[in-house]
Amino acid sequence: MRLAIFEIVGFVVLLTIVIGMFAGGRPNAARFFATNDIAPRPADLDHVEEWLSRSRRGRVAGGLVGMVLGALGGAPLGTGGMIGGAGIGLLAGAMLGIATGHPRSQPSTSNAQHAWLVARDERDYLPVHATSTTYAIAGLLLAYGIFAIVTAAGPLGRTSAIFAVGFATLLAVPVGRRFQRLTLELRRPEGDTESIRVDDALRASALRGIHHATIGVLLCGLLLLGYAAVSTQTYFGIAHDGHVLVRAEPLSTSLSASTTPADPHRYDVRWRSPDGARHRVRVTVPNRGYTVGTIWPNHGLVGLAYWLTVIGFLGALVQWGRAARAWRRPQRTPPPAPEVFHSTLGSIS
Amino acid sequence: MILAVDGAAGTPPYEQIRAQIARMVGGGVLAPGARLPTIQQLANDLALAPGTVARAYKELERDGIVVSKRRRGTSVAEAPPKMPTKEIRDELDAAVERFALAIRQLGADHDDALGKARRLLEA
Repeated sequence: MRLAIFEIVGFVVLLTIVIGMFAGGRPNAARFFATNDIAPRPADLDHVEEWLSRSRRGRVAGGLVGMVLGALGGAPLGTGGMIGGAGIGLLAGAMLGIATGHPRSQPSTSNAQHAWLVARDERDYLPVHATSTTYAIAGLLLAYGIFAIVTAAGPLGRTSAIFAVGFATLLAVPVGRRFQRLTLELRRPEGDTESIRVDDALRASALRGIHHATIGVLLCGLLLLGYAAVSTQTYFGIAHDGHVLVRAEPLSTSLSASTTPADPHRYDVRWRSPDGARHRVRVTVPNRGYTVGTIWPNHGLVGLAYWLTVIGFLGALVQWGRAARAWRRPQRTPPPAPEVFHSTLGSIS
Repeated sequence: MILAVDGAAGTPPYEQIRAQIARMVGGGVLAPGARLPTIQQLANDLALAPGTVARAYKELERDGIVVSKRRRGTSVAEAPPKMPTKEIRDELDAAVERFALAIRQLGADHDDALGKARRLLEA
């Protein structure tokens, strides 16, 4: 299997991420308290340490399993599909890991249970423009995918599967929102105002992590759409001014076009299509104006697709890092709740 | 805006939730349009089954106290029925009598109890 430079870079970066997941990013409860300007108390410290380590374990385990499954799933679509699949799996698995890693607090053992009659809303916990950013990227993904299909230079062939997976990453938006909602709806532990501040900061951290993982999945989708677009807006063959004599299917490999010494106008074009079948076409080129080899009908579209692929790839890496380090950022949470009612009530009765 | 459910009380939990929300809306503590927690959030916080909270919300909706919309969740109705002033006063009198009785029966210090009650009311 021959790999292009960007594919080799992709594998190296993914490998670095895997190593980095184990070696670095160890959470630090003291830093979490300092970042969120909360005074650490022994009970809260234990709670935060448990949450941070569970969240990390969930993120790493989910990311690894997702990456392997994604790479296996994407392998039939070529190396680009494999890298994109691994990236989607990594981020989707991390998202799932963060959501399921949030500890469940146990209800109190007394008969009386208390709750604040206030709806917990994700907008109170996420950065200000988080939701609009998510929808903007999803919109860009959808619009670019449709544009790339409409402007493809020829039949989509096997790239239609890559486009389908790219569009499917839009599902990360409702899935991410669902995970965020589940995290918000988890039982709030009983305690005083400071405990609730800690709980709110932890929830906000989880929501932020899921938010960045969601954007990361969408950017993986952009990577895939860009990769598919590059594959469909260029082709290997012989053509002149829109007149195509030979066109290899997108994602074909082992491409060659050679002339015979006896007849320099007669080309022997060979390629292997994505399904593994070998193709050979002999064609006589009428005049010298024909282009033989990789043909780019529209340099602007190919350039756009290429850069969107790069942006998707680098952006997904950045989002992965942000999801992993969400606990280090100061969290946006609702105003602190007043003193908890039942704790004082309990001392009266 | 604390909601309390006592599992040992004779009243079913859904009725306790319904009565408390109705009281808060009727007394004007919960303003028209105020969003209520989702069924799942309230069920988790109160360690109850979601069906219990759903039943309370359904009965409140039937009484015109709250409205439920698919995407926006449950919120207090724009013009909920007001609790009559006499009913509020009667309920307040009954609550104060229960409080005073409990303090006397427990032999608690009156100033201490009143101080705690004041702090709770001001929180």
